This record gives sequence, C-alpha cells and structure tokens, in this order.
Amino acid sequence: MIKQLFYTWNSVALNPERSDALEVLDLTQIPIETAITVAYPSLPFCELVDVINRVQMATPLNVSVLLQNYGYAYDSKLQSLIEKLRPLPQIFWQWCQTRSLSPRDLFPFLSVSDLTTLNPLLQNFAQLNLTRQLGSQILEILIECILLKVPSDHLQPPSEKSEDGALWLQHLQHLRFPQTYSRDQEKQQTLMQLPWTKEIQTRWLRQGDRSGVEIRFFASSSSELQKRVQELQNVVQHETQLHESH
Amino acid sequence: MNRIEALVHKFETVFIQRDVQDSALALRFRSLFPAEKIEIVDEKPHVFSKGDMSAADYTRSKKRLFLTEHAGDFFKRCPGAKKGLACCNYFVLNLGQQCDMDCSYCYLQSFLNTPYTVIYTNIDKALQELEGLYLDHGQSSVRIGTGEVVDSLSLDPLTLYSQTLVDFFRDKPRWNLEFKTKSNFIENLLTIPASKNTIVSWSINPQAIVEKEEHGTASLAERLDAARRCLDYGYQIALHIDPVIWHDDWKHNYTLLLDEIHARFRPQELPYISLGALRFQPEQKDIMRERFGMDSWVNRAEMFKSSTGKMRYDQSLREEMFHFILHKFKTLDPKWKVFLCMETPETWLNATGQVPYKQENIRSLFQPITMRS
Repeated sequence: MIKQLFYTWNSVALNPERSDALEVLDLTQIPIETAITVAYPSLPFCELVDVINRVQMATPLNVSVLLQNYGYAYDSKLQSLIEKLRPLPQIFWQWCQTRSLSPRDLFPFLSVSDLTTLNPLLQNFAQLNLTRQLGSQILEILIECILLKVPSDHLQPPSEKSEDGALWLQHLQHLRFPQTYSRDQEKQQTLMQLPWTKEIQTRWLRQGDRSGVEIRFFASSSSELQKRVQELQNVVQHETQLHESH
Repeated sequence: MNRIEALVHKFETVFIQRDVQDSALALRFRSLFPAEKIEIVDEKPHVFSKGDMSAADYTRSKKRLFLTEHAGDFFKRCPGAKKGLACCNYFVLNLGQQCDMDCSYCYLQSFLNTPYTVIYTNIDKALQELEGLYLDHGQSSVRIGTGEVVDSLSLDPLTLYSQTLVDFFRDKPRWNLEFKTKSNFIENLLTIPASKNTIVSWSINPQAIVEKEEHGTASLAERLDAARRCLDYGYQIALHIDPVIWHDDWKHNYTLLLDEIHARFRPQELPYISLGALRFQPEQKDIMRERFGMDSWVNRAEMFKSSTGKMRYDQSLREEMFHFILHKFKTLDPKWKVFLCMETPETWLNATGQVPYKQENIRSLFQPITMRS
C-alpha cells in the first residue's frame, strides 16, 4: 500500500486533504514550485489552478516555473486565464475538475468581462454533468450567445438530464447560427419534396462548413442495386428540372 | 503632423539590438525617434514565454518596435500553396512581423508570439537570398509579395525599404514584386523611377467594413486614390477584395465598392483582382472576441470548421457572395480579371462554373511551377 504523506513548506500545507496522514514531511529545503510537484506528481489544469490560488494566499509563488513543471507552456494568455477563472461557481468548477478541462476549453471565458453574471447559467450547466467534449462545445456557444445578448431564459438547458445535452447544443447552435440553420431548413424542405422511394432513406446533414444529403439504402442483389440507382437517377432528373424551372 | 511624425508618435518604444545599432536602418531610426524612446538591448525585450500572447500584450505589441537581424530564410511559399486549395504561385518575403494597423480579422493574432513589432535590419541578406534564387529560377514567372506578416508600406516612411526592393527587381523582368497594403503611404515609390514589374496592391473592402473592422487603416477612397497615383506614375497595381465579410447590407455595400472600382479604373489597368472570403484559425476566436467584442461583424459571423481546419462561412454562402461579386464585375465589364484566393476547387466550380486552370483570362496565374525548397 502506498504511504500517504502530508507535505508542508515553511508551515504552508501543500496538500491539506492529507492533513490527517500519520507522517508529515517538511519540504522547506527545496523551492516551493518543486515542493508542490512532490506533493502532487501530476495535476490536471483546473486542480493546478486551485493549488496556485491556495498557495499564493500563503506565500509568493513563481507561477511560470510551476506551470512549466507540469508541462504547460506558460504565456501571458494562460496567465490571464488563471486570473480570470477565480470567481466561477464552485459546482461548475467541480465539473471542470472532474472532466479535466484544458486551458483551451476555458479560453472562451476570457471574453466575458464579468464572470459572475454567468453564475446562474453555469450552475444549471454543472447539474447536467456533461462529457468534456459536449460540455466544452456548449460552453463556447453559450458564452457567444450571452455576448450576443440573447436573453438568458432562451439559453437554459431543456432539462437537468445529461442525455438532453445534445439537444441543448442543437438549440444553442440554432440561436448562434440562425441564418445557416434557416438555410439548412429550406434545403431540407426542398429535399423532402423530391420523389424518393421508401427504400431510400435520406437526411440533411451539416459537416463543418458544408451541408448536404446523406443517402442510405440496402441492396441484396445486383438487380436491386440497379433499381436503387435508377430511382436515384429519377430523383436527380427531377431535381434538375426543378432547378431549371426556377 | 506628417507621416513620419505620426509614426514616431504612434510607437512608445524602439528597442534596437546592440549588434545592429550602427546598421543603416538603426541609424535612421535613431535620427527620427527622440532619444527617450530608443532603448539599446542585448536580448529580445519583454520575452518571458514563447506561447500565446494575452489580448493586452498583443495590443501592446503594436506600440513597440524591435530592430534586429533575421537569422533564418527570408523567402518562402505562400500559405495558400496547400493540398486542397487552388494556388496562384505566390511567394513571400518577410522583412518584419506585426502590423501597426489593427484589423479585427487579422490572422497575426493567432500567429505571432512576440510582444513587439519586428523590423529586420539586414535587408541586404534578403536580397542575397533572392539573387541566389534568381540564378535558378530567373526565367520562371514568379510573384513575390512582402505583405504576409507585415504591411508592405505602412512603415515604409520609416524604413524606405520599398525603394531598395523596387530597384532590386528592376532588372528581373520575369519576376514580379508585389507590395500589399491597407495604407496610402506611397510617397517613397513616387520619388524613384517606376518599375513595370512592381505591383502595388491594396486589400480593399467597402468603407462600411473599413470603419467597422479595419481599425487604423486608410479609408477606401484614400487607398483607391493612392492606387490611381501609382498607376499613373507607371507601376502596375492590383486589388484584393479580401476578406469578403457578410453583413446585413453586404450586397449594397459590395455593389458600391465595385461601382467605385469601375468608376476609377479600367479592366486593362489591373492585371487581376483577387477575392477571398473571411477565414481564420479556430484558436483565433478567443483573442478576436476579447479584443473586438461581438459587435464586430467578424465575431458575429456564422463560421464553421472547414476541411482545411480553418473557420469559414458555410460553403453555399461563400458561393453566393462570390457569385454575386463576380456577376457584378461581369455586368460592369466582362474584361475584369477576378480570381478566388485560398478557395477549394469546389467553390471555384460552384461560384464561377470552372476551375481556375480552365479560365482563359486568369489561367496564366495558376500554372504550377516547381521551386527548390
């Protein structure tokens, strides 16, 4: 069993969550930045931010050296971010820690002048317990919608269930990209008017900066395949005629 | 205040690397700037990291100059020369980095990591490099631009580099030198004999966009006036309508722009006009949002990640905007030569009906050449 130690540096508790450990090791003889890496050999970014804020209240700290010890290229953008994140609500910050959010996931906060205005939304956000990927996508769009002055009651998640996260993202995308959404809707309507047979399934899809139709069908023989291809050709012909008549 | 005085006023500090303090450029700067703005340094100033700059540091980098020597290669291929994009054989010569103007969409915001504007003092080394390439490729038709990571002319009243470059290219007839600018600082070009293989080009946009997004630049009218003067003096000129930015009145404003171009120039006076839609790296969004807010048409734009990794408008919207502008040009006069910059062959096809290699009036620009790397 790995022995758990409580580390201190010049009377500063480095890992206070271990303060009930049987052994206490004082690391004052080495630099504080190195002592922290002894207490926590690895730390995700958000937890590292907590340690920085906690230790800085007790003793001066070279944040640049510490971040480099954990493999982060310290720069003025990262420095701004660390300072910016202090007022985030605890419940949201816990979600960031659980999901190991990276600086890049959190950079959108830099454009918000007063983060406390986001608190109610971020608290609701945290309750969904989203995955990191979905959560960071939602965060960026949410922040942009707030900056675009979309009323906050339009921005709330549809429910407190994490499975509704994808729905929330879709809703926010419609708010953030209204013209693209309406163009896609129009194209989808046109698509539905084409003479598809019931053996061919279609749906309108957006892939980055392009949107188009996904076509699916099943063929168990060469004759069936030829039939589907013929049906597709009929659709193309119809679409061309429609296009020409416009 | 004349141009030089205005630039001297704009910069808070000029750092000069000790090794180059007696170079011709440094001596000129030391004579133009008051002594309290000059600082001779042994190391690069204000560098505490190599990573991304905060918005505040980036803004500050436009107020500080650093004169130093460039150690690497000056000359490289345009970033448009990538798989998946139709490229027009453009090469770049970087004589500095950072720009004293401040466009909201500027890609330097996600590209630079030095908290100052750099001007390289060793232009003679750049010219030696070019001389070597000329021995191998002097018979190829090559366009070399100086406006990739620095505006070609906005600092020219201080550097006078334009005159050195024009003179260097003067006896290299198959090579074209292209200055690209959003300033109207052309006086240095008008005090030396003009050279036909020098193209002075302007990035232009409707005045509404200049006011909203292109901070600290010359107005559209000033840019077009400067272009006319260069043309009349004997230079070639070119216009880049780039980046095309969607906004509520985009059709009206781009119509005004095209009418203005057509009123001031004849198609045969411009070898080409290039057209490019707004694009930027995804990581640029943070700094743009922080620096310019969501009132900016660039930050409000509905942008999506494209197959090349850059954020772009929806492809059908790009095609609509390109088609509108190309059609308008054609209506004004079919002889206008317009090509799309940094676009996929699919967009070319849908916006113009043909890929560039097949379009009679611009085909020559897209003939691939091979350069030794």
